[in-house]
Amino acid sequence: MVIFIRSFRHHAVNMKVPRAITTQHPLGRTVGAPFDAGRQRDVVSAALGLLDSARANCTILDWPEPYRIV
Amino acid sequence: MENQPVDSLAQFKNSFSYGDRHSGVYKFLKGLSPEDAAAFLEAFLKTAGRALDDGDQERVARLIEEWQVRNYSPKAGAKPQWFYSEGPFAKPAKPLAASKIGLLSAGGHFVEGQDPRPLGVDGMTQEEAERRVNEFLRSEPTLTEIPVDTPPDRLRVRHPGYDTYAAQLDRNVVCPLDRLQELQSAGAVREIASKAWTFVGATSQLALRDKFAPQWAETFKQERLDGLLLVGA
Repeated sequence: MVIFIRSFRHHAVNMKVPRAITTQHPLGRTVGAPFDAGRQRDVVSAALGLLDSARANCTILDWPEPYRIV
Repeated sequence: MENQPVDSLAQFKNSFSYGDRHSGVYKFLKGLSPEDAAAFLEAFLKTAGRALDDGDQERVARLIEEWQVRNYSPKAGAKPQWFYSEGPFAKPAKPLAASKIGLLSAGGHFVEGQDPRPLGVDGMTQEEAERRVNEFLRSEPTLTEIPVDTPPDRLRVRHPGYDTYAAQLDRNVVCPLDRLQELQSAGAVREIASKAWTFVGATSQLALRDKFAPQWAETFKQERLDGLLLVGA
């Protein structure tokens, strides 16, 4: 399972990763803002969830919520 | 200060990408046309100005992210630089809650006192790494191990390809050790591997794809992982 920022979604597609999640986060804050444990946990959990839910290669989940600061 | 040449807008915006004003946050300006750079700067200044009154700093952050997407996304008709073969889709043998999960981060963290010594240098600063980014991009990657119980204050981070400020404040932004341990405690996964792995993603992509990723895959297999979480930086 791979977590990319939205800026690099094309890398997930090009690399044909089996399972990926993209976040609407600035470069260097892939999983979430510093100390935003809730967002970080949700993103990691969603990425891990692809292990169970993905049915084919190149399954990409685009995290719908924008970046937030805590 | 008189008679000092004044940068043009093009020179000014380009200086944020490994130039005099380098910034991992704003290096995307180099990829913008002067017209687009001017549009971003205008929007940024106005948005930051609004934040003085309403405190909505997230609007500033979102503006930056939107323009990073605009710059880093491939232009229409552009061909990818690298090609990858597609492997078979591997269905997991067990559900996530019964799985052992490992973490691989491209964010460049390492344990204090165990510097991976990039380019043969011990104690390289972030600033020096940024100055030598082109050497990093030609060098072979090093896989670094981090015991998952390493306290946050024992970790260092260094990576020439992104602004590491957030990763210094909170390792979980690119190396979610604590979040994985919490998910293990909550029963979401059976086990987290006793060590995480990191590397500096700004490396020879050819060496990474053709030599080191296959080697590292063997390392992960020996750990009997059921899944590996890779976090880009």
